[in-house]
Amino acid sequence: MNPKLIVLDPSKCTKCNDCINKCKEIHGVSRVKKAGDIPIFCMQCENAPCMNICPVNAIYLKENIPIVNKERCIGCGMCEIACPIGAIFIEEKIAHKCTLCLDTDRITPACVEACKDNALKLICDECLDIIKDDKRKKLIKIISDEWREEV
Amino acid sequence: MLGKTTPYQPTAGSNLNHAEIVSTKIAVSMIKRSKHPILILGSYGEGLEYLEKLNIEKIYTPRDMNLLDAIKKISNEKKHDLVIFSGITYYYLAQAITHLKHFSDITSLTIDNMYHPNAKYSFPNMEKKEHLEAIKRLVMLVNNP
Repeated sequence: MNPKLIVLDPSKCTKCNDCINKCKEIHGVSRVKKAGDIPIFCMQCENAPCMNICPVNAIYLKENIPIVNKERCIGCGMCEIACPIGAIFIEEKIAHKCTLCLDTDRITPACVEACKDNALKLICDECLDIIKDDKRKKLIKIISDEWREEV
Repeated sequence: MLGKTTPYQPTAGSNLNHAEIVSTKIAVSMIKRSKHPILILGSYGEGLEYLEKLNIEKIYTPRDMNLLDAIKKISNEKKHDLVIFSGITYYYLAQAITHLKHFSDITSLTIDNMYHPNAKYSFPNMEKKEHLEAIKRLVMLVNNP
């Protein structure tokens, strides 16, 4: 898994389009796509198929996040075909994908800040460990209580 | 049991928009991405001796200036884009970051061992040992890219 990515909690999302509008405001084109009513974010794959398939090596890595070099991109659409979730697309003859706003001056991704419902979160592998740790502790408590009752 | 996002004082988070929890890695990437970060250090808590080694601009409070004066100075100057806090008394800091939250566009990050709901980004509630390790890791990662 890539060290950083944006995750969405669909149960909290109110489909307000704030993330999409903010992305459009910052980058000109919204890099967030909708599936049904809920936005879909790039998974920032570790071994990114879009980067591997690019015939002109227009996609490079910055802090392990694949970013499109607009000057090199020829808009052939191979990345669009290779992407497993449709997070990269061609518009105005250039490929667009979420880069966690690494190609701008922002400190954190704009969509995460724009989300008023806290449905979007920027997480990394460490955060997952914290979440797992809590669940693990709860499980251990349940199991130990059951064991005590049995004894 | 105190949860990861339970405020130390229940009155601290007065509205719905509470801080987002960040891990050390994300805090490091935020510091690296910001152009003019500033660290405001208090006199309480652990790990301050490690934070002094960080290669960013610092304000020591109350030694250099009062905390609220420092906050006013930062929000008026509009030079800094990220303000990091550590080692300041909980309720003083809660006031200061509320000022930043409502009257400026500056991103605030607290790296104490307690969750601060009024900041934009905050470390979760941590054990002292865990927090010290996180601070050591943060300093190491920021200074050695």
